[in-house]
Amino acid sequence: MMRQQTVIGVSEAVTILFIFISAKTFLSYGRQFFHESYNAAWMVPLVQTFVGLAGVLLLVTLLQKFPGRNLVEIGEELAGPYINGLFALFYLTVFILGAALTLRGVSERVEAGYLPNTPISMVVLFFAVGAVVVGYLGPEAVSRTARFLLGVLLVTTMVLIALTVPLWRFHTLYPLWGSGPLEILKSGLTSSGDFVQILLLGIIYPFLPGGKIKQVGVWGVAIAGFFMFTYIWTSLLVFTYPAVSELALPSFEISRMVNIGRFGQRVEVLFMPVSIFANLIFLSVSLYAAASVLCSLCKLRDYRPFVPAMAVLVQTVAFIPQNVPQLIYWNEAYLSKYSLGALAGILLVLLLITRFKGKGGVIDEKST
Amino acid sequence: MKKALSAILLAVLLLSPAGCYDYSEPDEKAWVMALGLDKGRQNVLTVTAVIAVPKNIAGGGGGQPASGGGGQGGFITVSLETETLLSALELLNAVMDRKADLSHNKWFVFSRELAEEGIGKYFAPIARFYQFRRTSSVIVCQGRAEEFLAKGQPKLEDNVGKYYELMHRGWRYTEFIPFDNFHHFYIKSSSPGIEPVAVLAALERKSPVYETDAPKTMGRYQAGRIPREGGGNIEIMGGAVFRAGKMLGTLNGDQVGVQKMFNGTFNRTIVDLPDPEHPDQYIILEVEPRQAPEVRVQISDGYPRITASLKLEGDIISIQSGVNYTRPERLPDLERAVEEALLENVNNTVAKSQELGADFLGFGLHAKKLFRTWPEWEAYKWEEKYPLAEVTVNVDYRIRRSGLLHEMEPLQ
Amino acid sequence: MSWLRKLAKYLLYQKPEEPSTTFMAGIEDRPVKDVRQPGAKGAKGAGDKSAGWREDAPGAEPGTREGKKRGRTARARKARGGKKTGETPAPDAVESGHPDTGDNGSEATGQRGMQNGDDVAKQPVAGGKNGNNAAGQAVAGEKNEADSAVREKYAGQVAENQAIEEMLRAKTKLAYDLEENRRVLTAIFRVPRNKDAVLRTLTIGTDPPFRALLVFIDGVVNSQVQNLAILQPLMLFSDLKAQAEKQNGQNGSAGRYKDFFDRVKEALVPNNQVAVADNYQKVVNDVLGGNSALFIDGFNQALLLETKGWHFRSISPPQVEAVIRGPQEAFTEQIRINTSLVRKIIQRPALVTEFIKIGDVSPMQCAIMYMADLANPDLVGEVKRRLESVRGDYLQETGLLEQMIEDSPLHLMPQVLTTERPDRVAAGIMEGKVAVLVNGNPFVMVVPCTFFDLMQSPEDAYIRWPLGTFIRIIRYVGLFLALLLPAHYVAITAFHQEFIPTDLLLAMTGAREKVPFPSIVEILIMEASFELIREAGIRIPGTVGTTLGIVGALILGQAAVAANIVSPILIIVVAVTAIGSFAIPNYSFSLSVRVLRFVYIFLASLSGLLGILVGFFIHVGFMVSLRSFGVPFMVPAAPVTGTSANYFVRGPVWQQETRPDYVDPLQRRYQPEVSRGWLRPGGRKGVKGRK
Repeated sequence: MMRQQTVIGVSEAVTILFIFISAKTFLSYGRQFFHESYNAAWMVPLVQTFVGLAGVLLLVTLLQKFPGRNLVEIGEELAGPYINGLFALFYLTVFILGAALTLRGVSERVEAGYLPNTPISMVVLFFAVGAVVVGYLGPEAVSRTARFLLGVLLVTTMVLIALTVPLWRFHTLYPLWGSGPLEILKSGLTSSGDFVQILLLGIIYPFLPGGKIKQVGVWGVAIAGFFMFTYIWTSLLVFTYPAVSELALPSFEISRMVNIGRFGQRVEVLFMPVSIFANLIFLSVSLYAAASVLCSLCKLRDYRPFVPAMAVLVQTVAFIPQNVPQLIYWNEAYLSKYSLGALAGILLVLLLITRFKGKGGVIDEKST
Repeated sequence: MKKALSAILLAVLLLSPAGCYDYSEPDEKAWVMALGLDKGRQNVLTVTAVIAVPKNIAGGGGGQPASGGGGQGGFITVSLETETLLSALELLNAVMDRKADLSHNKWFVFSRELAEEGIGKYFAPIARFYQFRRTSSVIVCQGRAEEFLAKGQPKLEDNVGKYYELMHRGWRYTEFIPFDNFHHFYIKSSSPGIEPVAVLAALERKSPVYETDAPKTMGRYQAGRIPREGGGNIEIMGGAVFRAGKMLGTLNGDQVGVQKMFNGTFNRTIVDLPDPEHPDQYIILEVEPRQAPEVRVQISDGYPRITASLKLEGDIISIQSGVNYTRPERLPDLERAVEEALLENVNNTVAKSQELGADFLGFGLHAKKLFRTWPEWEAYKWEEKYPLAEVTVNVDYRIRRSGLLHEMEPLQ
Repeated sequence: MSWLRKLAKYLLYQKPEEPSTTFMAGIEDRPVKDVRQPGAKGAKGAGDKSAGWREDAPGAEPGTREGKKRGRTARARKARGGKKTGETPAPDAVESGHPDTGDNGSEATGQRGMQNGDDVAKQPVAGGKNGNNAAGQAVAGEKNEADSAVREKYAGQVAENQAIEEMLRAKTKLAYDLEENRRVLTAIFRVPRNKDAVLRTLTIGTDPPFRALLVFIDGVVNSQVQNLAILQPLMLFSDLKAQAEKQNGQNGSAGRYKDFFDRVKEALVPNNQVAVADNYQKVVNDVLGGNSALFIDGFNQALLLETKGWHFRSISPPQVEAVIRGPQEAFTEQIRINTSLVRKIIQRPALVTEFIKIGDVSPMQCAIMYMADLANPDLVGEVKRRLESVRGDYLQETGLLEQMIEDSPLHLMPQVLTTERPDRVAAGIMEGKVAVLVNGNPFVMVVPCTFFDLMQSPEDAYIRWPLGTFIRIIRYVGLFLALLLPAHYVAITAFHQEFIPTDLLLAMTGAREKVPFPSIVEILIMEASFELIREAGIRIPGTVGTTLGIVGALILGQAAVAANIVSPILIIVVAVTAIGSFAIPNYSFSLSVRVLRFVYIFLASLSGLLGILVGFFIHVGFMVSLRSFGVPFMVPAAPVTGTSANYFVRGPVWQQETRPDYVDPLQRRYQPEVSRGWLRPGGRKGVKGRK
């Protein structure tokens, strides 16, 4: 009870993992699926989820060999500081680019729908402040905040989906295969980078209860996959195929569509908390994770000095895209394409080294 | 902790001079309740905005509630000659003291003239605009929208926005008002296999519509052709069929009802059925949907063959002749008569849709299931094949209730 | 030599801070200035004297503790300028480091100090205008300065106080001589001036008679007990027993008792609690606590006799935490009654009441209660560690102590559950929590405390569970409204008007047409006036209380609207907010919500709902990282820990099977799985299952 070291429970870990992966549903996630798979876009998240599950199992296999150490430290142990430096740079890029594009994206979303006349810098600053404070408080605070807000998130999401059920038009599911099964598979594989956020598991691994990592990873990815699927499914059914591919922010448009009588319309404000909280959690997690990667890389004991620094970096990167279309394009081109492949590559390399060194009996003593 | 707090304080201090850009009081905005589009006289378009006058609407806040002459009560209209719809919104600020805001807009009214020219370029792009709502209604009015909106004075309420909303809300309890709001209008417009039907509206017609008092089914009426006196100035009934953003023709009340039956938005209607035994007397029945319509599409020789079955049920509301149709052995006669009457409507409507070349009944959505992938479906070009399709419709009507009376004694 | 002086001063000043005392806090100087002759001569004389006795016996000074005091004395002396001749601080400095520890020494010092102190105390009391003025100014000016003018002026008295303080702290032993003891006690209690302390001499009527001294504080002792159980037996019947024994031919008391003192203790004082003290500190503390001390000539011990006769409020219904169903008694200001109230509910031997002396005032002012077989020893240890480490002069209030032991003082959230209901404390103790009782305060702290504890009322448990759930949900709605409703009003009317139903929007707009202020100003005006009314309502004397209600209703009600200052809907918002905040059962939590409300209003006026949401996110972040005695504040919601379904909504009583996981109690199970034994055909099987 009086334990003061950082501990993240299973339920909190699953919560941040799945929110970290699926927060993008409140931005422009899935926009390209409709272009690639047409009205069968709802199958793409399923493909992605299976890829994500494979990725997380790979990650778990590696992590389980080194209890109590995060991915950066494991990499250092296995690949040496220089190669691992490159790897860590990749992790850092994932977190920082992800945070930056999300920060900009969510600010643009607020800008687009709620506060059209407010300067983007002020909105960005708002989000940055929220994310920095909670990120600074540590992984415990982030995960508990996420866990505490989970109720709000789930209930609001479910209510939103339930309220749109009268608008569902099932005919849009036909022709069943959209652009064809192969195209769907291709779309799912190329965009599998949407699940690169499983990387978080490698960072928070030391704080998780021992032996539960597989459970956390699988559940986190599965729930995230479920939400991403639900999101694509709902937007597809509400807007039907050709119209849905036009939308920039499908989840926002869905919330604008709710109409339950004269009193219950124009209620998108009610669904603002979901998107804002989910993305704030995403940002806090990213800031913490980036700081933590740097901290492990520099072999420091406290991640906290890095959090504000990361925030500044993230803000800077967030303003690099000149406009929203560029932002969306970057997100698709750099983050959600291939990044999971790169991560899987790194993991495979590390696993190979483990196998190789394991034969020589170097690692075995330390890992057991 | 201290540092975090000071960070917040710092942020707050930094933010506060940034000001409240979006801060605006509700009484600093002009709430647009409806927008009307006409062909312009001095520019491309005449855009008419209906702006609510809150001081006349808020009860008890001083000022008499609106009940006076046209346009003097709960709203004012402003007509502006502009190039585009949204530039009118900008120009409005030059005319009105308050900032015009579309977020409570209820109606988009297009004049028939403009609609027949094509309104795709006006309405589709406004979906991008954040104040615009996909839940607003799309109305096509006979005559000029300008005049239509200016004279559309609510009679029962002060709030013109409520009037507009309730007006279109009639789709819930009458078959004569199409369901499609902007959202459905838009997604139907953009997807192959179904075409939208907008609400048809008009100002009250002053001159008589018909010459004689010969019997006419009420479903044959449509907005602008309803013989009446009194009531509100506006009437909405019937629909305007669109394809590719262009109005192709109008539907009367009954045809809209059939469209709604096939679209699953039909809730109830009342049918005046000539008595099979006394042709000058009527039996009045309520018709409700029993099941979703069954539609089967087959493609033979490259052309669709459509078999549809409408499953309906309903109650007897009144029997003028006093013939006891409510006896179990007589009910099927009545049901058959209803089926025949309805089938005639349906066949008319199907013929109309094939004639217009617009599949507003949505048979294409069922044809979609025959295809494996979207490109195959698009390559089939449904909208070209549909007018030549062979359509067979079967109506199945069951009487469920006979009202508060069971058998009637003839009047002595 | 000035550098030497400076150096010495520096060195002396740098001595590690001793625990502060009333003397050092400089408070006690104030009343003194009124009664003392402040003439320069008197002060000087006193100062000289008090300094003098110290100089007389420099060698007898006990070690390090003395050193500091020496430093002070030296400084005081030095500050008086060159009046002291031939005195340099250097020898003092050297002496201060002189190591000499020994009880004898300390005792000797103490006694000598007392003699001197006594003299000082006996100085004639007279008023002096000049002195008064001067002292007043000095107090106002720099009373906390080390070299304040007041201290300089009354250096003698300061030194005397210091000596008494030191003697008590050093636990100076009692003297054998009754007169000596009497003199010391006179000095300690400042007797001729202080009319409360009574030193009554008496003769114990034994053969031979013994001279004795009874010391007590008038008013806090029960004089009847004193008369019947102390004075009467000692003075009248003390020899009867011995005579009877002699007559009966027994071999007398000589063999049975060690000495006369023992005999008095064992046989002569029919008092229910008797203790023996051998130092002044214990005597003084007990006497102050309402006991009487009996000194007998020739013995260096004192008998402490239980004669407490405090006047206290009787047990009355709870003032703050009223319930409809449930016990209607509340704690009082008397700690012993409070512990008994808890013990009355939990009649189990494992209920432990430990007394802890907090700060430097008196013992027995603070108690902790816990179940020895339930409470986590770590938790108990932590509570004790924190309480014992607290130093301060005036901590006789739960509120003050709470601020000393809470985890994060910067937080607005209360981290300690304060309650005046014994049943609530008992329930907490039975969950494995620890109760902290402070004498003189009817509020008891229960730690650790979580957010959900703050939102609960004991009533939730006393009514049937679906109803308890209902009222608890109502309360959370109240919390939400109290915290966020005004902010949402601002956010929605000023930023998200599309959310308002059209009819309402037009009505609001119409009603606002004549209101000159923006919504944010409106709401600030109304909230501020409401806060004002609420605060005034608490402070207002009861007799004029009703007027406030009328005024408040007028201000907040029709008048503000009629004057077009606020729009009518705002009245509803403010009223609902107020009602919501009254639904929060915990007063300090309610206060924090009242404060945070303004933060949210500010954020909302800045950027609408976005501001509120970001603020709320940060708020939650802080709340989840808060701990109360090591227990996360938001437990069991975040982090999730196993617990009976009772934290947010109220579960059925028969399902409350386990104690909360977060306190990690020694026994996990609260009641057996089948707590309603009659459900089983076997009858009372469930009862047996209880561990």
